[in-house]
Amino acid sequence: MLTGVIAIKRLFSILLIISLCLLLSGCWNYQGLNKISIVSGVAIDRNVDNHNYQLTIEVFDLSGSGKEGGTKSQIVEAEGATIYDAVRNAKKRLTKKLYFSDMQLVVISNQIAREEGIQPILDWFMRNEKPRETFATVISQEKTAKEILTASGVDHKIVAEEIEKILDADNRTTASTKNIDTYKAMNILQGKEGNALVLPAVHCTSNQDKKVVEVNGCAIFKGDRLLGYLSPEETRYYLFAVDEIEGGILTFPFNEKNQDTQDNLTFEIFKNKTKRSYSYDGNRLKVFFDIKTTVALGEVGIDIDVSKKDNIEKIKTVAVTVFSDRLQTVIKKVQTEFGCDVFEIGTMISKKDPALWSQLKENWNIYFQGIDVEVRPEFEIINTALTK
Amino acid sequence: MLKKSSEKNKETEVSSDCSPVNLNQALSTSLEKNIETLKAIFIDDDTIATRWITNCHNTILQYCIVQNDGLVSSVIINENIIKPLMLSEALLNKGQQIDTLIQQVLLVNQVKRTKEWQEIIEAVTYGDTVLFVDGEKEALLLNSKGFNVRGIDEPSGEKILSGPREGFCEALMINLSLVKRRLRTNELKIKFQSLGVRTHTQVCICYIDSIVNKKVLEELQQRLEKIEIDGVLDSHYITECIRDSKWSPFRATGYTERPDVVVAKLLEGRVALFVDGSPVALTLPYLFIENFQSNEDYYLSFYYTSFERILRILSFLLTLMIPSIFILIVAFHHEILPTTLLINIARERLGVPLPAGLEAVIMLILFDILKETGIRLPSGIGQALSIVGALVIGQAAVEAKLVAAPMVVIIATTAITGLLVPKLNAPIVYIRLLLLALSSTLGLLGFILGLAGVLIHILNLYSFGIPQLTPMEHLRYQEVKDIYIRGPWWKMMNRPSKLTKNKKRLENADRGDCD
Repeated sequence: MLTGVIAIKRLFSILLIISLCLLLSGCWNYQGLNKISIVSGVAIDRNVDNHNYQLTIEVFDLSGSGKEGGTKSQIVEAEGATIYDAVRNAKKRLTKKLYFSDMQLVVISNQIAREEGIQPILDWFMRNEKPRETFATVISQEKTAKEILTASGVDHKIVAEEIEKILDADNRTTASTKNIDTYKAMNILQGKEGNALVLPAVHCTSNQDKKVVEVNGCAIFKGDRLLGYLSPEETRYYLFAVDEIEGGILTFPFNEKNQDTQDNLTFEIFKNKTKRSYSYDGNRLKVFFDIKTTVALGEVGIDIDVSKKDNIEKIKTVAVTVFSDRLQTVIKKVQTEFGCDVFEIGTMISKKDPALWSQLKENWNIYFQGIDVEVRPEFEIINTALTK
Repeated sequence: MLKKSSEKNKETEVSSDCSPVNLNQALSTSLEKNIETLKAIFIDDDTIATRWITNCHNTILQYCIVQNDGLVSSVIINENIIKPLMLSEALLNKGQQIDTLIQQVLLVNQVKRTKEWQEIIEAVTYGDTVLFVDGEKEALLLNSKGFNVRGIDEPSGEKILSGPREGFCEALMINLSLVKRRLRTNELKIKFQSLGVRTHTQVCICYIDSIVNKKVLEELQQRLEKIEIDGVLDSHYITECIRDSKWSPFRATGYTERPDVVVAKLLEGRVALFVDGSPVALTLPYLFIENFQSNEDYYLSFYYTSFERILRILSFLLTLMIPSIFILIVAFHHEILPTTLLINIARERLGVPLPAGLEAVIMLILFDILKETGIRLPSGIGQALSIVGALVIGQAAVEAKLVAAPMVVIIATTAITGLLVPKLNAPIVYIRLLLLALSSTLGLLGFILGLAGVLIHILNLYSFGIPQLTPMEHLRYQEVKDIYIRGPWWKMMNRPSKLTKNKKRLENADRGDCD
């Protein structure tokens, strides 16, 4: 009798523990893999007529065997008053539910970014628990964002994956755009240091008469509004300034005055360290960029004996002059054209001197336009490749 | 067949009395009466043969031998029992001749005097010859066993690459001889007792006196005494009767068909239990890690076998978890998968009729059916089975879109890893299905819940008072050497702690690093 009571008690407590586990656990749900459509990328436009969001959703096409030619993609279009509304409207023409966890790319049209800002658009992607927050957000330089997703990639059949992979490898090889995860972009938008957001820009180009996607510099924002673009070349110098260079090449004319002749030198960047500092004399702020770059001579378009130390020194001097010239031009352009702090100078000051920052914070964007900048590049040429 | 030749010997007709004979009655001095009783005891058993003998020098001396046909060696009976009894010229007095018979007449190595009918029955049915002497209240049990047994082969269940290949057979004494030959010391104790109300099976406990854990020994003897069972046909009968936590699917006693393994376990302080008629010896207490140990671990390079042992442990974990982890990822937590893998799995799952969880259960059961068929089949049909198994269940099912290809890979991996730990096959089947059921209903949560439950259960397992998870509960340098890996012999200075109080294995261990 007594053991019976104990057994019942024990059973009851086990049931209680199990039911507690069920109640206290987070979200989970049985969802068969054959009931979902896996989304790779989304392009967002504004329908001019009815002012609805126009979503172009790229999903993986699972119907093929996948053995020949890799996975293909399908395009689903949908409209809605909000992003979520549009996503749900898309279900009307689909048997499966859209699955956003593996989404890699959001393309936002030039027009929306310029006129409405990107924050309301990204809100759903960040607020909803499903998408990974590491997806990339890019700005379409074409007329609509849809054009990007409906173009094709060279390596992958899935455009979103293609752009994602290009962005991933960009800083190490070409340094032509800014690679930033969306959650970091959101942090900058919500941050208080007056940093400006920089997102990658993408356009379409022609490759063997096919319309393919290409990254094309970066887009500069003030708040969440698009102001303008930096070209890939300018972006490289921007990346130098914010110390995000991991590789890539630099090309200089040896003799700058003689523009017509082909006398270009190409450096391959191995390592770079940019140190930023500032001085403030109570009135004027001066920012210094100390750039230490290790490069190798990759291509020599002039007749010069690079095995001689003198010549290397000569090349170095030219490089330093041209480099600081160009970087200063880019900084000047940002200061005058955009007037927003994409170099994170505000962050630097607020960390080193909070008192000064609270003083400058008020009109930082205006103040930023008048900052003096000094660039102090230093090149170390570690080799000249194989040919002497 | 023995013939009743002598005219004097009368074959007494035993009344076909069905009432059981009183086994507690004393032996009579009258030879006829004793034989009558014996015939009554073995009524309707035609293999029991009697043979009357009279000494040719002194016809007053009458004897009768009783033996069981087929279990005895007729050479022994003819040459060593009948011949001396007939021709003996020793001074024999009716009524006081037992001692003289034993000492001067019978040419038999083992002679036992008895007054008990029960003992006589057990001796006759075990191939001994009973000698009734006219005028004596005692009978003599003479060893004349001559039955055939299987030879000493390599056990097919425990094949190894190198090392001793002898295996036990069904005869207890031969098995003991195999052990004894390897342990030539007076400290090896061998104690017999008989078990089984009907079968009276000989059971034997072996241990090394100076190493054995006395508590375990006592516990074992107590538990053996408590057994009330009809018959013991294999050592496994005993396993289930003497184990702790009787409902657990995990083993509580070790089993082996190899004498070298038994000796190794004895040397670590364990007790071995032999059962007559079974080639499987039990060793106890049994630690959980023994599931992953093999005798070959000690016969090959320790580098190699350490790796093997880690593989076995890994396989155990894999075979338990692979199907359930796969299901919980595919059905609940797709986010874990990298995109490419997700796409590939999703593509395969497209157009498959059953949900993943059900599919896994069906495939698992199918594999278990295949495995069982493979064991039971006559060897000639095995090839047909493997073709059916590989082609139908593997390839054709995938091509017909009945199951998804990744599932076949998962089930195959589960099956192969499961075969690596044969000693755990019973718990594996159940735990695997339990985890599968939990993870296909509750996802990762259910999986963890189930795993925690299994772990709690294993932690609660005892074998003769010793926790089975010893010595894995905490890491000690000295003990790690024979758990997850197999250390070199010159480094294994101690016996496993808790098994024995006599710890030192190597004589000069004190210069080493024992803890």
